Amino acid sequence: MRITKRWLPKLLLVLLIATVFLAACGNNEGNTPAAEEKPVAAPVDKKEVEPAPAAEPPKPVTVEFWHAFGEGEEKVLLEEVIPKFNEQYPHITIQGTRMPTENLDQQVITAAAGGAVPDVMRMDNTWVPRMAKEGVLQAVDNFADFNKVVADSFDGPMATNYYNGNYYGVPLDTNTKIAIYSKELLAEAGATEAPKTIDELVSLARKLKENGKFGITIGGPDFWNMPPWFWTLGGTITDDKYTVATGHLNSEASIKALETIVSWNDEGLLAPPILGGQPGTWEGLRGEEGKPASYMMINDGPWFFSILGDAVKDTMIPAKMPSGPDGKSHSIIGGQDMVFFNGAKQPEAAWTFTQFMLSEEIQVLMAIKTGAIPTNKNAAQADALKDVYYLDEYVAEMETAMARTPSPNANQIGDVFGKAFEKALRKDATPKEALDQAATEIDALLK
Amino acid sequence: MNKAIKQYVQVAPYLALGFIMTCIFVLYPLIKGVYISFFEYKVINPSQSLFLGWANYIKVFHDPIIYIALRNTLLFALVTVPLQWAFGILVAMVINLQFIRFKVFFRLVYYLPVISSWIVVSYLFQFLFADGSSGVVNYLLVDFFHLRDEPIAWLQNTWSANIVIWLLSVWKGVGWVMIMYLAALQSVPRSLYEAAAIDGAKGARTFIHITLPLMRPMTVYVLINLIIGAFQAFIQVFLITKGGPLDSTHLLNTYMFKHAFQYFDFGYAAAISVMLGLLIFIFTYSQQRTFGKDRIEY
Repeated sequence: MRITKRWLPKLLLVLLIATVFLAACGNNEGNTPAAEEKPVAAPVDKKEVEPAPAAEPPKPVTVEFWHAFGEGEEKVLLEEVIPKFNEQYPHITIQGTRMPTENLDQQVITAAAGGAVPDVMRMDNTWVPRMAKEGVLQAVDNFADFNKVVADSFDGPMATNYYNGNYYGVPLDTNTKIAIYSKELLAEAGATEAPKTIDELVSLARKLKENGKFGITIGGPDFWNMPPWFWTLGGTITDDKYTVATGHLNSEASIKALETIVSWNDEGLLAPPILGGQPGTWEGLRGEEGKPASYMMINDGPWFFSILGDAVKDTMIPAKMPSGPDGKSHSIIGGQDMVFFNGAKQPEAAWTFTQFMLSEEIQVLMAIKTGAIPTNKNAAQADALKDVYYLDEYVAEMETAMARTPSPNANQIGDVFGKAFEKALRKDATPKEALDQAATEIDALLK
Repeated sequence: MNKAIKQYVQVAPYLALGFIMTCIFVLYPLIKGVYISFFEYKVINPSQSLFLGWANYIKVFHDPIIYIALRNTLLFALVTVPLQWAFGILVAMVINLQFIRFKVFFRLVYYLPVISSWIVVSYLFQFLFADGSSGVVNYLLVDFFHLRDEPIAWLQNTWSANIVIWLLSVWKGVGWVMIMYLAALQSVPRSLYEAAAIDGAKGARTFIHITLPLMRPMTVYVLINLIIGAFQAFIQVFLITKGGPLDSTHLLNTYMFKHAFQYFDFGYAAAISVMLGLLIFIFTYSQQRTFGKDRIEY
């Protein structure tokens, strides 16, 4: 006890001095480049910035950033992107929180209702209209240099942020799904390269069926897995303006497309995941422990290659989806937007960070490291992307890919769509009945 | 009189605490829930909510999935309540037999599911009943006992999926019923059994004529709790089938949750929950009336 008492004040003193010194060093290191550089931070709110002399060091701020990056993507964010950002903006600390993808939309709503929102979030682009309608998000049209972001971004991904006359976010990354073939099973079916048309694919699938294997894998009847096949086979969901489904979802071409998919399933050409069976798509394509591969192809995004890396580089072929009756394939557009919350504490700093994330340099970096397709037009043309062997096919597929119906009711619309297809596949309804009913229900949800 | 008031003042703070808690955590949410059910409710900006009158309730009666969910909810109660009760009392009786050894061990084994997390056991059952030959149950049926040629897609069909949910719920609930009855059995005077034995009554008859009647208050308590629990079942369906395939295994609770937290249609979800609340009230109230009144005296 006595020893502690005698030592304690001295120890505290030493610690205190050390802290002061260290803090001072830290500040010096941090501030010097900032002071040298242009007026730091994006001066969004000009009233605040103008009176302050440009030389005065900006106040340190912390930006809360929610995202659901995968493990590899988060590593790039933490080890490369944020350090680069802090070189330019040392006063802005990015507090990134990796959220679970399961039930994330509920967490966002709960956080918003409870006033515990972050400043900025990387959000699935189909959620934006719904969250905007609920009043969770800020419109970004008046943010500084917003028009520059619009000019630099691809139109499709940009449009996912539009709701009721305003933009509620900016596109961070985009993606689509292509066909991924197993070289081994492709050879077993008697082909050396990826089939160009749906008909070729079907005949390969018939050959594989004789060996008890599957040539076509559709991940499920849902709104993410089914549309690439439905669209490619000639189906449509709504008119171009997304106002009505009747006459489109239940048009003759749409019914024929669904009938074709159902006939594949009846014939045993579709792998079990179409109705939730096992093994899953990746396991079936690559083979599980002790079980050989049984699926010749799946339809998936660039993360397949970025996550599995060298393990699939020599065994899998990335290829465009086989083309349908119109001579093209129509895959689906996915992606993530950066959105800003009502009640954000640091919207300006968050916007600065977002502009940085959308810059050509970072977009190229993320594309190379994670396979995320840039939304920045210049970044998408960068030479550096050519080094990533699978990206070419994705960028090519993007040209004819289509977006899911944007709507605040996107969730319900997706459910109605998925249920109609599941019903037809399970023979609970004919394709025509299922699509007629779904069209009526979706009409009501689009109003 | 004066004394009564004085006593009342003395206990008032304690009563008030409980009353305030009940107001905040029970009454207020209850009233607010009913209030929300009349609106197209916006959680973030409640002031922008749109008054709909009875529209949400009318929608409840016209929604085909409500009837499927109601069917599943009632079936769930009809299947799991009697089974939990029967197995629970059986296990309690057997464990209570004089010649059974390691009583503590058996009590523990049967009670373990009760204290396990719903989330853990739900995922456990999902793996046990996985489709294809990768599921343990399918492996046993097809490869081990050769009872079937093809694995069963347990979770892809309405009824097989419901069976999985019921099995889990019964298995998890039996232990609680057992503990309740084991406790109640301790209170039955041994002399009654001895007297019955002298009169020549044996096993089954003593059970029907002595044990069961004396257990009556406990039976009422257990049944009411099981029924309320059955109507409140949620996690097992939410985690195992998510209401699928084709929304055919939804319970009213999971369907309500879907509307509230996936579609953000809080008004409709509140209307469903009010109807569910009424249903539970009707069921349990009529029961209270029918067998809650008698008291047993030895």
